[in-house]
Amino acid sequence: MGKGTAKRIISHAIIVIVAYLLQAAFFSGLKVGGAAPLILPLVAVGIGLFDGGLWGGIWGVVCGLLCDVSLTDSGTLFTIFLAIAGFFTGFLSEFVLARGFPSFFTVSTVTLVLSALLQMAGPFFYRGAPFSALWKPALIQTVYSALFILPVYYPIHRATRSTRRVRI
Amino acid sequence: MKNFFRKKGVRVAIVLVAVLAVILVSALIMDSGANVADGSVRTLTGPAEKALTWVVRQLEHVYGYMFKYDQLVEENEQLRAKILEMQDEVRKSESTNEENALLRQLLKLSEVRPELDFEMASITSWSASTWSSSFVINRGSRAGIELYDCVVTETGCLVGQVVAVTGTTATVRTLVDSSTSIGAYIGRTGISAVAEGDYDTMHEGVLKLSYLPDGALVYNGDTVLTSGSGEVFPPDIVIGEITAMKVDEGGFTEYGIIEPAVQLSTLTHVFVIKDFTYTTDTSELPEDSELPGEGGEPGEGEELPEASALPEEG
Repeated sequence: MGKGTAKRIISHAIIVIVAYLLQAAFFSGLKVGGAAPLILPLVAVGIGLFDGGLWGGIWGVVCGLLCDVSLTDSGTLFTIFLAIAGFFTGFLSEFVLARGFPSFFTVSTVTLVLSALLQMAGPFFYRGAPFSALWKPALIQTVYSALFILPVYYPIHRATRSTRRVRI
Repeated sequence: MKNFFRKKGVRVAIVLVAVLAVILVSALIMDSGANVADGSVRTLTGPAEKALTWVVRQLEHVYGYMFKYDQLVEENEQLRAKILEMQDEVRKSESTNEENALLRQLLKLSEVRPELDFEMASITSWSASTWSSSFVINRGSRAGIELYDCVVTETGCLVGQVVAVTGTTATVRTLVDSSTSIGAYIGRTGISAVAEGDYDTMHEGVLKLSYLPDGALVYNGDTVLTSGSGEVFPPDIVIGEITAMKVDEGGFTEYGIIEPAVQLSTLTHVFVIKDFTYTTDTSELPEDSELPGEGGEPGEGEELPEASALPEEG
């Protein structure tokens, strides 16, 4: 393993751990309208966007696992979803997406909306919860989580700066 | 000199006697024990004495710095360590006092409910999920906690139920969670119903009292307790009190809103009921025993809260 790879793994691990602690221990007690923010999905797609599909997938699994641990009610939903999201974002960044803030913002927003929809699916389809009771917390969760797009962007952007490939 | 004393001897003697007389008189007049001579001498020599004392102290400092520095540093370190140790002891004693207060409350509950077997636990983290209300405690299967054990406060108010257990931790789903469904009854009338959560009420921190029989009279402030049906929750655990009556969207079914007796946001410690003897016969309880938070039958002259059986919203 090269020095650059080791440095990249360490810096990503620090970002993931900080994001996990913020999501699980800090913002879980600061719910707005009963909704808590999701920060780890932003980290997964961020790493995917700047480091490519392979790293996006790997860190997506890690972020998803930690996300499921912090949520306690999602089973393995986020482990699977964030692995796919991280990989797919990396895949898109190879061909379609520019590696900058507008792309990160777009991908993050889509991921947050999909996260909320997936979380709503269980109560809606399997437990018969009315949509009217679900959309509001889902919206609050998405907006609350979106506030962290910018704070998450800078550390990931900086951590991947040295390893980012220049695209022609 | 010889001539001086011969010529002036008498005068000198007189002056000396006069001075001594003044000294004696002044000593007698002043009760402070000092006299004019003392005062005069000390006034004159005071600054010099002070200066000398200062010099001596400075020399002592220099001596101390030169020869006792290491000893002082060592002593300082020892004192610092001792202070830290004492601060730690104070913190521990504060924590112990808090725990003692909780256990004293629990003791009262244990006297009233001897059939319940408790295990104390601390809340380590709350779930970050928007879609459920649960927390993790620092006791698990190694402490004898099992799946679906009931969780209460030190005063016997229902907190929730264990829904996942590891060796050292357990996840507790709170009573306001959307999937909660508890057999319940109203303490004042004994009317049976079901206390259940849903997504609307969960975010408001309350739960619903559903499946009320037709024509049931329910008042604001009525205490709702667990009925023990299903043998999952022990009977007579306080769930909360009725704060409103509502009608469902169809307009046919009436349900009550239960404000939980426990304040979830301030919880730090909980008690898991590991085991209980299932009985609905309350005659075994001591006559003077009163469950914490239970409303019971209103006494004579006691006014009932405002009736709210009529729907508040259509």
